Amino acid sequence: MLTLLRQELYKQIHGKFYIGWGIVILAISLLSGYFYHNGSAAMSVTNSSARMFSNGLAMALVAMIVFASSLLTSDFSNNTIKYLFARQFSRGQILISKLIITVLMFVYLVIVAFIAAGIGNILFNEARPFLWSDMLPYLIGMSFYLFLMIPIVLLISNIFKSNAVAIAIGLVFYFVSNVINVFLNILMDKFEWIKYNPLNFLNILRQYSIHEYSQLSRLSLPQLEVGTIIWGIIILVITYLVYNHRNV
Amino acid sequence: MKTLEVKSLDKFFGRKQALYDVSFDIEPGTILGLIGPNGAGKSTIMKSIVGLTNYSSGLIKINGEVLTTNKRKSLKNVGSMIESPAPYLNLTGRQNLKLFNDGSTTDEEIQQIMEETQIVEFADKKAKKYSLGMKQRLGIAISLLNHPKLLILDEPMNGLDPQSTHDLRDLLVKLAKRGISILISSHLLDELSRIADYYVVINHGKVIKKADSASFLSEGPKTIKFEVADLEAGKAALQSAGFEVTVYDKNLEIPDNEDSTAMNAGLSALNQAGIGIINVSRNQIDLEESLLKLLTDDNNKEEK
Repeated sequence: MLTLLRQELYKQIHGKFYIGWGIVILAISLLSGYFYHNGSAAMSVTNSSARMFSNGLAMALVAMIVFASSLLTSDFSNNTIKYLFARQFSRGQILISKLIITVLMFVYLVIVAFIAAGIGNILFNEARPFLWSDMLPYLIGMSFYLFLMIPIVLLISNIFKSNAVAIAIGLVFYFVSNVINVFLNILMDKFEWIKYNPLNFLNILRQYSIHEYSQLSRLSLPQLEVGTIIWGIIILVITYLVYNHRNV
Repeated sequence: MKTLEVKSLDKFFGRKQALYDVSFDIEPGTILGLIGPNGAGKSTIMKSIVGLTNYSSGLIKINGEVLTTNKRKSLKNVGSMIESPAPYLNLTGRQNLKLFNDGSTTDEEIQQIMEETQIVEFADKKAKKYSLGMKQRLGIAISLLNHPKLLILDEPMNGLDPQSTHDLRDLLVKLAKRGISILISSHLLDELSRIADYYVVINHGKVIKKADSASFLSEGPKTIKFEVADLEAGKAALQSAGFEVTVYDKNLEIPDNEDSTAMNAGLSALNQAGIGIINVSRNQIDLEESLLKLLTDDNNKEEK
């Protein structure tokens, strides 16, 4: 297991993903800080450090969807999967090592977003204290969101054998969730139980920041938290079953 | 203890059966050539052995460990290159070797592997810049990591120039002398015939022959080959003299016997019929011809 982790880490360290997305997060955070500071009065906000952090995290979320979508498929498209499967490790161990690397990548991107917000705070916000109370809910909400979103992306990429499809679906869920919510709500009016479908639990990201979102999701925050974890685990198990039965 | 035991292996793809009751084994320090036409099932057998594909029934034991019950122990000392080498393209050759090292191969040993597979000079270039032959050598180098007792190489000579093929041949023989067992498939039968100790011939997913190298070639039918000016007339002349004639590669072939009577009788039959004789030779059967005859016989048997 440690060998697999070391190998996954080695691949990431020698890849460009973490550098590229680190730069993107840094740039977005600082740019947003610049505009909050120098833009119109409407854009100027008192908690701009928290805003810079959340903008960086929003980029981190996109990065994580891209990362997860290629986590399994890149090995298939490059054929390197043959070297992974033809060894003494079980497929479960391989999947777990990849999930751990995903968590580590998320932690790294959060740290980059935090540092970027800190730099932006010094440069554009006269080093005012961080508003932790604004930053924390978004971070927790995003962690829950990714706990469900990453397994969904992994499952889709695994089934379709294509990271492009997984990225597309992942980003669609994120950017067009309002449209999806409208459709879901129409269905929920007729069938109440539809509120327990996994897509509805993706609203946890917004509901953490805006509690009124519960009217849309029709679930309380604790319900969303528990449901997100349950669905995340269920989808991970399905992902494992699909992965375990893949012939190369 | 045998390095590899494959017993009664069956494999279905949906309803289609790809492997039928495949059985063979490999002794330590020997090279087994797995041969057969494209689509015969060679790669499927190799993939089943290393766990890339699930087999439907049967038993695979590696170094005494059953693959399905103890994958960890059974595949720990197996190196493989199936179908084509697949290194990480954004890494250099050296980085690829470090990546696939499970920690049991020292830096000195990695250097030795690079020298043996002759990748030292391009070891620090990214693999995406490698030619097919370079990738092939890197793939073989990766399979040699972690002290394998069994090497499974699917078409390892593909894309190699004659010198590299020669060097790989020497390397495989050297590895076998060190006690490593090698299961190898190749369409370059001439190359294979120089190193293999045993052969397993696969056709339509079935083992149609298992034999050691010497007996495989000696068991093949010996023939006399006539290259004649008129193929049809020559065939008729030989048939009328009582020979069973086969037309193979624009030549006429009749069964040989230990003395020269068959050759003399064939020559006089052709002379009497006035057929121009361009060349006569005793057919030195090689692996390729032996395989082709075997496959032809097997296909004919199936058609009947």
